[in-house]
Amino acid sequence: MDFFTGSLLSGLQLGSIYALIAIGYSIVYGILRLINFAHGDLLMVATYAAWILIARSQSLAFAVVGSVAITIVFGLVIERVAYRPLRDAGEETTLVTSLAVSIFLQNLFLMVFTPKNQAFLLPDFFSQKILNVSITNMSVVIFVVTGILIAVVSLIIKKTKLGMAMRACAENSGAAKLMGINLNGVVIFAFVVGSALAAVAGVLYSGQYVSFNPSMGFMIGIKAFAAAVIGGIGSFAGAAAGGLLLGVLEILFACYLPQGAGVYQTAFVFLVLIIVLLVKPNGLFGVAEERRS
Amino acid sequence: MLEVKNLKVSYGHIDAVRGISFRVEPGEIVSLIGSNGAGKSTTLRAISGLIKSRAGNILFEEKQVENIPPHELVKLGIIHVPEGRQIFGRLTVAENLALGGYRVRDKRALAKRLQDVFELFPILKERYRQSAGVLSGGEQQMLAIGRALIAGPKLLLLDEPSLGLAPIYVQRVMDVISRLRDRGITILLVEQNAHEALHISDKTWLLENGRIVLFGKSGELLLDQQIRDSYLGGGI
Repeated sequence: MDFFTGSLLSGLQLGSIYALIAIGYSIVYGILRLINFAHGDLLMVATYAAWILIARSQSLAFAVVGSVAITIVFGLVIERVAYRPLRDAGEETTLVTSLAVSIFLQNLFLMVFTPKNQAFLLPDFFSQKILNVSITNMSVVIFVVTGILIAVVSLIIKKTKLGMAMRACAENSGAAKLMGINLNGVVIFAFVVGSALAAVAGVLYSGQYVSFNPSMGFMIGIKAFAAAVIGGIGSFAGAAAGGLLLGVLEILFACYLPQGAGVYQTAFVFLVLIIVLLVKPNGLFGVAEERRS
Repeated sequence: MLEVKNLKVSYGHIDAVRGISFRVEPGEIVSLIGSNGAGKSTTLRAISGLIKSRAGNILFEEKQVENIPPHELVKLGIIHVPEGRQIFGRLTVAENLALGGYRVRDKRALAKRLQDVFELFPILKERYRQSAGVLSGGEQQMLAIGRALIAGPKLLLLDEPSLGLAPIYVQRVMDVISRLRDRGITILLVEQNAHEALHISDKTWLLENGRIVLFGKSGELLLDQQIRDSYLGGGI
């Protein structure tokens, strides 16, 4: 495999993880117009939960399921305690609140686990290379799991009654209430889906890149948020596409920028974000909408 | 069927509805008329639970309902067709109608109501698989009413159903409203088009600045000099 294909694959691998997180940002934003900056930190929560459960139970499957469950509980508690009381407040208020929740989570974990970098070690099977090329079994797991999750969530949103209610709430939550839809129920569902995806993303990310600490979620969260914006925030397909695009760009910049500039890969990624938004203010897949009063 | 007693609603410091009372009997069409900002839509939004009232009572079938959330009121049979239609433009006509029946468990009743809606509005059958956003204004109003009928309303709250429609559609919407009454649905109609409202309804309440200033049988109000001068342009 040549260098370019290898870079592209590692970009898609990172992008898959961004996509999973970006989808969570996007569905919650779609319904509540809430930019939940604490969403990225859920992947840190999931990583610590999985790390502890693996050590205690020696069962990877149990640890993954347990980590997803714990992360969902965190997501739901955050929604209930921090966001629901502010449902009628402005977007600015909830945005600042979500930053506060993010800082709170990071500091809580800093207190309990210290800022030390820990290693998330999976069985050797995952790091084995396939056919002597640069992709490992872990890469395959990332692609397969991401593909299945995106397909499942997309089917839920498109085909089920609850998914239809979600789309209705995203378009016009007032009218959705008049259909008999319980907005709180839909919001809870969105947080369950978003938190579960973030948890899986967290385990995949740490499984791939090994090192983790209580602040890991913030930057990844910001990048996934940027991915959701590039794709058109509120759009499911846009979040998935934006995530993949961002991951690929980040790795390609890292690999192909001239000596010395490679360390500025993140800056270049955000430069692309700015350019995309200048050309298409609603993102690649976004729909223009009038601001609601 | 519906009794509103001394209802007061405020937006922040602005009193939109300042203590109004009225009744709707089963099988009636009752209209609330008045100019823009008189508090008509606010009254409907309070009845369907979209906004909290500041004071007063709302009784539906003798039960207090002023603190029940909107999605539960739908289950009781209070169905609100909001101002500006508010159909879901990114969803299909089929999905919009399905959402109307979101709280209906009885599949047979749903299928029958869908047939009724198609009979009433054949255009919705033609456009069933299309995105609702591409419908014309008149068609969207039919969809909004059709969607409400799927819910099986006992009391239908209609907010300005004729607003922004071509005259031919205004006539059709009014025809539909009287046909719905013939089927036993009670209707509370909010209209700026006082002329149409008075012709179609049994009773009318006239609102000004959040207060009721006049009420009576619609047929009699049509002949009232104050109404004719202020709301009917004098020219009929």
